[in-house]
Amino acid sequence: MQISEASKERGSFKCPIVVLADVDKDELEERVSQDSEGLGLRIFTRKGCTHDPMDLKRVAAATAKYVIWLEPEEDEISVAARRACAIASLKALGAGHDETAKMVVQTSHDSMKSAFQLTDVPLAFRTPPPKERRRLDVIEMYEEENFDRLLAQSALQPGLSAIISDVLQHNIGPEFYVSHAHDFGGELYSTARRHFDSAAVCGVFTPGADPQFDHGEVILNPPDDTVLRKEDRLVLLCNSEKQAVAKAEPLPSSGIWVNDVQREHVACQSENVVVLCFGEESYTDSGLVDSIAMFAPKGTNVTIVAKSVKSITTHA
Amino acid sequence: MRDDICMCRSYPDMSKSKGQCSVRYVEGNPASFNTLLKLSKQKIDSIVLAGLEDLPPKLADAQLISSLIQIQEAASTKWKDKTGFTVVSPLNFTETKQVADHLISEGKSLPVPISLDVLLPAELASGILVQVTGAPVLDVIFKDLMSEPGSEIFIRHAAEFGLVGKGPIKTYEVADILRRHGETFLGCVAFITHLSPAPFQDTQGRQELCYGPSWNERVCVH
Repeated sequence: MQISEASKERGSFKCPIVVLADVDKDELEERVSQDSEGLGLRIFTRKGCTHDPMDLKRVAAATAKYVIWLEPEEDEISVAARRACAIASLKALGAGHDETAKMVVQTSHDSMKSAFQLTDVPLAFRTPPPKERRRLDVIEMYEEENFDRLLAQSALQPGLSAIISDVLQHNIGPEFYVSHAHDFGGELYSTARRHFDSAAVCGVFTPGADPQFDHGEVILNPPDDTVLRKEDRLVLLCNSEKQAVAKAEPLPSSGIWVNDVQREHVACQSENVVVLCFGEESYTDSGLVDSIAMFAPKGTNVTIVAKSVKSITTHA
Repeated sequence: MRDDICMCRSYPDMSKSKGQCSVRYVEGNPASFNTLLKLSKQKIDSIVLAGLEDLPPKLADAQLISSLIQIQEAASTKWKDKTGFTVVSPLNFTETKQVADHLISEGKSLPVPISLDVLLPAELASGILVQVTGAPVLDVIFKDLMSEPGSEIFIRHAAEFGLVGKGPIKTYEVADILRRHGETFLGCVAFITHLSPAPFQDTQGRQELCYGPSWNERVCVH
């Protein structure tokens, strides 16, 4: 569904989609068919190994515009080996030679922070250095403890989950875009952000010197007196690409009364949180509790309920 | 532990401070109604259903529904504090969300208001993955939002910024007020029910907003 929405909103993925998985083809086809019903996507399924160069060649992965590699549910060492082989195979098959290609590698943890010092994604991508310039972009998306953080934030701020879902998923709500077609060089952030009347201006993005290896830097919520450079672009939250285009005329200035408004604290958060722990006997909620502690205001009370408190306190 | 004898046992000597909050541990079956009855005596603002990711997806969703029913039953009979609370849970299938929303909707007449906040981990992960694939620049933005030292999204009361009772205000004026306090205005949440917040629909700079005296009027910032 996310791919379907993205193709409507951003114009990406307007091409056939091939799903390669090492499972029974009939089962795969049935599952994909079920999930994609009504989405208007052209999807083909193939049984095969996602790091085998022969199987990748069969599905023309090297000529694909986008390749999304999902991490298998295996131990860390096996995952690292398969992932490295997949990246190397795509490079060997010529991905990025003739046309720009993007590969997104999903990982559960930052591959560069492995305790075993396994082959991480950047290492697999840049080694050996290519003889010719390649238009292949490899991005790693890792989950880490993201979900615990989101759950904790939602527990402390009722209603936040809907906001998070709106922002992170492709749906009728807004998404993040980056401004284009306007040079903000020399302008203050406070001035630049007034050029958008249908978007929430959230920050500044500076592209990397070499986009293939450096995806740039972002500063969200910068001070208003930040001076923008020529290459800087603004990060926006809006409903479409059209709303990410800067207006020639900025919005008018606010009235003087804006400067006189005083801020007063008004409680808007949960202060008494109960965590019901389901799942395995040895489940430890320390990740979630750590996340709650990170965001909770002073005085928050957390009650953890579990079948076996001893197992929790041993791991906490 | 037998469910019909002693459902909840607190361990006050295991209580501790963590960050700025205090944590206490209670031994009890989280799936048991009796556990909820024991908890119904204390003030609760939110109940988090944790650990459901350890269960098979369909079973996890079934547990959410089951717990929600129990919570509603406890709220209709025994709940001491009547101000209301939110149930926060992961959820795997959108069809389950429809069932959960139906329960919440049907439970509007309960003496204790209950709202539901769910997160669909697979949909969130897919959404991020797809957005980044289409526009790799978003990778840096999402990493900032998701990482510990990065920016966060908060919901604040409109009254906190003195917006209540001033009549119509332009959204760019709201943005300027929040910028003076080092925050960025993302949009509004017209909190009618948890089912239909209307965030970000009023981000047009020229649109006028009017914040009434209701405590429910909230703005979303980071």
